[in-house]
Amino acid sequence: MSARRIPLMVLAVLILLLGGGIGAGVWKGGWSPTPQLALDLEGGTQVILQAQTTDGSTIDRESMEQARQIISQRVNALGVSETEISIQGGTNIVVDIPGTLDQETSEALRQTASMSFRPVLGAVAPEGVDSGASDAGGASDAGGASDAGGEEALEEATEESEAPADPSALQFQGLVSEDTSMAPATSTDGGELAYPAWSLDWLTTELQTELMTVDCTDPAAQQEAVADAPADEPVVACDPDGTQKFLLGPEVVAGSSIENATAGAETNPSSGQATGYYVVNMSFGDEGAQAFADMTSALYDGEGSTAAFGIVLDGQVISAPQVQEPSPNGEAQISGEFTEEQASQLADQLRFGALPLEFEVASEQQISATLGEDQLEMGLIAGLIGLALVVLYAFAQYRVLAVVTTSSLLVMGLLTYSVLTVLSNIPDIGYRLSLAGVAGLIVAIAFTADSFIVYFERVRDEIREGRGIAAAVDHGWNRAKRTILASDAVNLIAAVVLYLLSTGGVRGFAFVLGVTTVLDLLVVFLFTHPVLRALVTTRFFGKGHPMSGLDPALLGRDVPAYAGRGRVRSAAERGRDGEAARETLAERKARLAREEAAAAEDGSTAPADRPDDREEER
Amino acid sequence: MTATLSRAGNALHDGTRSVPIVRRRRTWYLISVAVVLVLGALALLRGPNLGIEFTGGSEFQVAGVSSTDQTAARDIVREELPDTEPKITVIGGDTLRVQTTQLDSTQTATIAQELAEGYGVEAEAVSTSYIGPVWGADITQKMLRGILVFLVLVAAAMALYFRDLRVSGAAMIALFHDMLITAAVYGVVGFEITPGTVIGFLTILGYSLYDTIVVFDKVRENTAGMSDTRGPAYAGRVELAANQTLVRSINTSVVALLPVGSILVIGAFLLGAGTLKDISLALFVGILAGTYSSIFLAPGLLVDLHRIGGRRRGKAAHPAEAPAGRRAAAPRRGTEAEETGDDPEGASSSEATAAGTPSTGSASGDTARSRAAAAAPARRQPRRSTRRGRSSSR
Repeated sequence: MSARRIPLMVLAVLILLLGGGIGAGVWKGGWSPTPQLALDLEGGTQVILQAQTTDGSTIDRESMEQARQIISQRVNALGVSETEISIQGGTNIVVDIPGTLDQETSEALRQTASMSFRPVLGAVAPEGVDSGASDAGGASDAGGASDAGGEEALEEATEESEAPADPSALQFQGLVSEDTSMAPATSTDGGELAYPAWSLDWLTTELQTELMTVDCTDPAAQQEAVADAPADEPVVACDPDGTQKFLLGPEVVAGSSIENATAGAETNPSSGQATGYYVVNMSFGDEGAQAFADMTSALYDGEGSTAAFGIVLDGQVISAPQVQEPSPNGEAQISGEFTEEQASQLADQLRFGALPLEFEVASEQQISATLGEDQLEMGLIAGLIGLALVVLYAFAQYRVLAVVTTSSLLVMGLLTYSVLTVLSNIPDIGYRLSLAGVAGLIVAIAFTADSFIVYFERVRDEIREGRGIAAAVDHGWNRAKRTILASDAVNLIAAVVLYLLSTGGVRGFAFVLGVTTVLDLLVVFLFTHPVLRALVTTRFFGKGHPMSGLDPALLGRDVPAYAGRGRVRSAAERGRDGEAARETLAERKARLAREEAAAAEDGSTAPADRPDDREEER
Repeated sequence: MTATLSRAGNALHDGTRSVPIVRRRRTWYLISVAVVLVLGALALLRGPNLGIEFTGGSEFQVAGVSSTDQTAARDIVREELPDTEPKITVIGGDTLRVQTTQLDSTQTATIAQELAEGYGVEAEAVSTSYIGPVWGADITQKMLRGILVFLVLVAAAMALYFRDLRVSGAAMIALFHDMLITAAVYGVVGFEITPGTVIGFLTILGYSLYDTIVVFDKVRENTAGMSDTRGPAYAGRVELAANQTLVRSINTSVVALLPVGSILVIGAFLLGAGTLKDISLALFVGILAGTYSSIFLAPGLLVDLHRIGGRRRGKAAHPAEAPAGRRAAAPRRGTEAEETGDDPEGASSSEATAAGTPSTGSASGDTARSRAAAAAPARRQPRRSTRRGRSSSR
């Protein structure tokens, strides 16, 4: 008995935890006790981003579309709430965000500056004015600079070791010491630039003075100056923490030519085993690849003042990797003992940071819901009517057994509501319920009822085949369980795949589908089945009362006996069953024969021999 | 009603009554093809009615309104464009944003003027511009890629679970059928295609496969341990399995249709337009189609796919035995053989089937088809009438 109660206990604990979590969240954490509503039902904030061109070139549709996609990727990466992003009038991007604009989203939208790759001419710690850091006269030691991380490794032909990962101040120490020694300029002709971007000829006295005077303890101050600096001139920039100051050469590659950037686990080159750290792989489009290859081979050959280049995003150096190997084919790997989080953050910045245009926030306003309150109300009313009809139908079909269905639906509803409330209050997920979501939920709850139907029909089949009611429930469950698992697996695959591969509304749908499918399984395993098993120990169900929905007589069994006590004498029961089955079969055959005679040409299906089938299966 | 359905369930379960799901599968195929062709042609004639979310459109901003009541704007737009549902939002408290499908300049001017009059503002207070799609090509593209990956994974998972690639094949054809019918009906009705519609479609995708798997799971149970899956015995067992899950399928679809139906009725008739109507119509049609295909198409397809596979293998193995097989099979009259093949009590008939099997099996599907063809006209007509007579007498 106690073993049977375990599932119900687990479910009770789950519900209590959810309820307690929501209660605590409302009390302490400023949660709302209901799921948050999406744009169509609650309204939100509208941000209009206006495209800017610095050089007077025209804004074409293609780059606007590209920008829209990048912005929507950025915003969607923040959670599953549905944000609407569209192009308005040719130069505006309208972003409709549900609810109020939070800091994170605001930053994602405003982070519109272009990204660029520039060689590092020199670097100092911000307070280290006296460290004698980056002067052009330093000893030539370029080769030695690239030994920073001997641990890494590559399948690819190319590789950069990241000595100074921005997230960690520790790694910066390595670079600082290396950077005190600089290679002398080996200047050659440099395309449109007067000298190559990595040439020390850029190091004028003014720049060195600037490098010393710029205050990186407040990175935001310098950020704007860097963002406005022309691409073809050197610049002094800080890292986001303000712990490092860089003197960077002119832009070599624009960030928009990054084709892709992903984070992946780092493997040891010799053993092939994972090192436990993560790396960022990036690739460039054709033009960018050539320029990037030129820069890396020059830096690798010690032609620059250091072997590092800086990745500048929004006026800040987000990363300054050392070149370990040239990258001839436009593919590169940045390593540097990243955690997974650091690596994917950098990859995201590389991928989404590269907008083809610059944008300025033109306006930020509250917007109302697009759907009236009546829509949500009507939707809920419709759903309730529908579920009430489901309950009525279940009673008509399964009689008192429908109590199990009804209570399971209630448990499902309760679980769904509380899980969605929790998920919408966790900022990283931020689920919001749209009207389509409401409709989907109502339907999902109704689909849940199918698990019960599969189960009940199986139990009935077992009773039809002559099992006692208690045995039928156990046996039917064993079979129904597999069917339920297999069919729910399909929904789970759909949910996971669509969630991982889609954006926007499709992603929100996949999220709800996954949640409801898991809850469906929980309810069937932890509630419906244990309750039904408990019920068949009662006289009403165990004896197959005509109103119980398990009446053997109604199910074509004339001998309802031995139910309930069946467990004690299952052998005897099976014997009886066999008898009963044989008897019934004989009767059936006789009847068939009569029918056959009556309708001479009748070729109706001969009786299937269930007992023998069972023998085969065993 | 309940007793009737339970009793019908009893009869379907032990096989005393049987809906000719597999036996008359060609009829069911034909019905589906006809429905798809007719509805599809009608839908293509009408053309898809894509919503603003997909196409983009025109946007009006009415600044400085005293009342932000949205119904006036909705009425104005509906009067001009009866087929579309405008999206209306209040921005910043006193500006009304109205989005409609793409309009030409005269329409734009008319609506702008009416909006200005309707809200009592100067004509200059109404600005118009073009608005791009919210649901861009990138979302569609990613969704399609997701669906493709999903289908491949599910087909593989089903093939593994059922240890049979043909199960995946039959389920995928049934799924394709459901999507086509749903899309066609949606096109014929002419509702606007919105993100809600797409969500409805995705739900159908899962539902259709789910429903089919439940039926096939019973098939698998009934045919466990059968080595010959080409002969009539297999078809008979599939038939029985399909019949045994019939009550389940009906109950499931009714239970799923009740809430969807009530959302559809309330959405379409009380609210007139919007997300609820779009999503529930797609779901309603999809569930109906999914139920039909899982009951009537999937089992028959499974049998046919097994026969096709069998014929190929059979021909390669024993080409010479085919005539012998045909002769041996000749006395066993088509559908009858299928049914009795499932009856181990009737030892003689099942033995005969078994004895005939090696040669019949290798001789294969054309044999089976010719038998069925020979048997069909002679036997089917009267039998159906007797069954009808019997069931009505109950």
